Amino acid sequence: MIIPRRHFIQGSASLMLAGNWATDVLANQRAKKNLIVIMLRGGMDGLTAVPYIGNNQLSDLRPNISVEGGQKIDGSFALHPGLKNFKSQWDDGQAAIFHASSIPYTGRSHFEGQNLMETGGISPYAENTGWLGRGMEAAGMKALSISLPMPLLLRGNSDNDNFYPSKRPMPSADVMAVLAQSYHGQDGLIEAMSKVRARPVAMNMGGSDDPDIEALAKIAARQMAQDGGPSVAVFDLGGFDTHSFQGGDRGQHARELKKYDLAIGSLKRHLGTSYDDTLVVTLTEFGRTVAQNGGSGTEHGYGTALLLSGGLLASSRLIGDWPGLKKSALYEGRDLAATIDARAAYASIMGYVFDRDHKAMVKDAFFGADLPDLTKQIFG
Amino acid sequence: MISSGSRFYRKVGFGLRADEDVPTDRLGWALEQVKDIPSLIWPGQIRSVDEMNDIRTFFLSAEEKLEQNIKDPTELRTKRETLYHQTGRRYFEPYELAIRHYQSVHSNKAVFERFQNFWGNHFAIVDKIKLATFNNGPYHRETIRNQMDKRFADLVMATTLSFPMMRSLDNFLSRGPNSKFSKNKKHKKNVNGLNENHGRELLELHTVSPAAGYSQEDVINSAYILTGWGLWDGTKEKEGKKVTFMSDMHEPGTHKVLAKSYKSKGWSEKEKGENQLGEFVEDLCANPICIDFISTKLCRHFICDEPTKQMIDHIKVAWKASDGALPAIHIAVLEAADRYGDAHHKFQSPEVWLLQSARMLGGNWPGSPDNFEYDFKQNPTNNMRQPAWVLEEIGHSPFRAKQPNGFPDHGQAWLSPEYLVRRLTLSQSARRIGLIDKTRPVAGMIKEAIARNFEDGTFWDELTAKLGSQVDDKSLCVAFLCSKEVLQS
Repeated sequence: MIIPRRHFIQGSASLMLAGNWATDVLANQRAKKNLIVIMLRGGMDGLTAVPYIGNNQLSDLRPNISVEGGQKIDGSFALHPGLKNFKSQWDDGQAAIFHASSIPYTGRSHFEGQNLMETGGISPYAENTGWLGRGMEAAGMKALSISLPMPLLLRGNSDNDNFYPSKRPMPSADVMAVLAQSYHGQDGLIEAMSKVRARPVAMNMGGSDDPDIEALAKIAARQMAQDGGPSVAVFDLGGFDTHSFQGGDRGQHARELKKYDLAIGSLKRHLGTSYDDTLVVTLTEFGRTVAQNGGSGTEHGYGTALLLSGGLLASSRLIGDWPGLKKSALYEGRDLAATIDARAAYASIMGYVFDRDHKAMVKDAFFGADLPDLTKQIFG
Repeated sequence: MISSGSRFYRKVGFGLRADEDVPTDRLGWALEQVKDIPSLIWPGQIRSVDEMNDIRTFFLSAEEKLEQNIKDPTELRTKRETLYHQTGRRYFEPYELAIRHYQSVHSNKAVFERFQNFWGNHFAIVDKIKLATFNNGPYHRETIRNQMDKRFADLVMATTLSFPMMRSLDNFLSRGPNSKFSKNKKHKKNVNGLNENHGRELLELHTVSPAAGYSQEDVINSAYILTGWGLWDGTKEKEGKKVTFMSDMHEPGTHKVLAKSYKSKGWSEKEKGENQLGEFVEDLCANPICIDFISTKLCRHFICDEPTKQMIDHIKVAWKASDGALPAIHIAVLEAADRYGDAHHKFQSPEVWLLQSARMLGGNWPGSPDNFEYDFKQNPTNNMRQPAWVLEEIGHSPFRAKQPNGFPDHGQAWLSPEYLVRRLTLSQSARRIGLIDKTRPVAGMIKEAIARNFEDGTFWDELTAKLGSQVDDKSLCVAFLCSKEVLQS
């Protein structure tokens, strides 16, 4: 069966509660809503995460790397077998997929692409702040990044902190106070030191040597679940650049997807009831070519899939405008096309989670770009 | 306290050691160190790139055999552990780091090491498939180091055709769609044999950068020129380990990149492949955009995050005049740092900071070479593994780049709360792990370091006044090593 190009918003019927039910009222009652962004570096292949199964087009183009054991979500799409937690959340009405979407970048360079996925701009290296940092600055919120470097995505908001567990004890508060005073003239150091000194003692103790993604997600969840804790968290996962031995059900891409899946499982478990007020969304620089290459991998492409999960979703659904996989429908005859600017989804998500008007959000975070309001498609 | 020292020694090197006199001519001191390739002062065993590659190949195939043949998990664990010991699976990376750090902390020509480390990072190998464990150390100290008295184009050619680059950027799997191999009916199931990974990074990261404005078509043609270069050693090992040109895989014909056509010329097939790639690499390296890109990157690494046109132009002039000779380029970087650097500060990367600390403070880092003699029968000792652990702790393991663009050169990228925490906590242990001479009082060592490596020691007078007379040695170490003045140079 070839499904025609069409607009699809499909939810499991039992959970399609309603369109615009009183989200505003609810928002006012909720103490705090959380946004978690999981960056997937290297170019996540949307067609491995959410393969098209409506016909043999995809498996014919990928003889060695097609996903065979997918978990069907409808007649046209399946979820990668490694996405077990995502599937269970899908079944609970807490997951959504934006397929055939990407940031508006077609240059196929990782480093330009990663720069743009974080800055939200359209010219590589033109901005020094990230869309999330700017959006949060405007909304007056603070975030925690679970990584050693401070991601560009969060820059632009001086309240944001980054953290990665370690075992060693901190120097005395006196020494740190003396150092902090001596950093005058070096703003970056002043800022970093003030965040280090403001941290709760517990945060700088009892880490493990080699924390896995589940443990990191637990740390983030605990921080976020606290009163006055951060409402935004960012994770950084690498390893999606599979030019060779990409694998299908198993293999390199599967292993990386599994890490993402473990993260959302752990977040749900450790956020507890706060998961009802949380949205988790992925971010990557581009998708990958539809056909496999020499080396049973895929090349840098364009369209990919955004994976959304969390209790803020009203129901599970596939969102987007599926362009199909016919050669004529592919971007430059090789990549899945992107039929919607992923920034529109991010702006709509931030607007909803931060209780801000979509237009204002686009202005604050995305330089007033022409981005449609997708709030209803995502949350309605 | 006004000293006769200068942060120039830290800007271009790792600072002056506690037993070094302050040179009368700082630029001359630096230039002397980059004119030729200094020999390694490490007294222990030095294994070649090929030897280490043999060990890696042996390890991978032995591990695979174990996994195939042994079903009992306990037995598998024990046998695997024995294999780890025999092959130095946990030993070689810290061992290579020890060689690297010993040279940086104790040699008289440590400025050279800064350049080797710069190029190692420019031609970074990503951390995968055990390359960091066995290959990346030798790749830095042999493949890259041995080219450093030649031209930039020679360095590009050597890294392009090195095992770790071929392997990590997948070119060994790339086949021209019209090559003899792809036309063979037996191989028809390959939809498209080309792998663009290496062809793209050769342009984007190693030479001309995206500023050259190449198209997807250019990337594909760059990949065509690289087809045929792969891994083979004529045996049935798990994977070939010798970089060879295999004409059957090569995309025949003329390939056009950045408006220039590269013909297939030569007597033998191998000569044709070499000539086509050689001509292509020469053109990329002579491209003004490449010269500008790399000159800027060098200034950013050695002088300041936002280098001025004057600095960059100084390198470009030397580059063009010398046809890209690396010693001439390195000399120009040092001249620019000497001439323009005093007005700018550079926030140093964690590894540079660590090695500067050890060199300035008479540290016994990475420890005595005797400590690194390994019997390949048990786990390496904690002393042996310490260099790798410490680098991991501060977030900068030089053989473990996450992506092929290596670690950032912008100082700003190393400034985050968590990175600062790591330096604060490590500084507390500085004496225990040997970053400071343990036989002498800390306060005195710091004063001597300041006299050699700082123009002005007033900052330390102020810091110590605020810390008070009862301050302990650990706190003194933290205050000095994490002072603004030490973190940036």
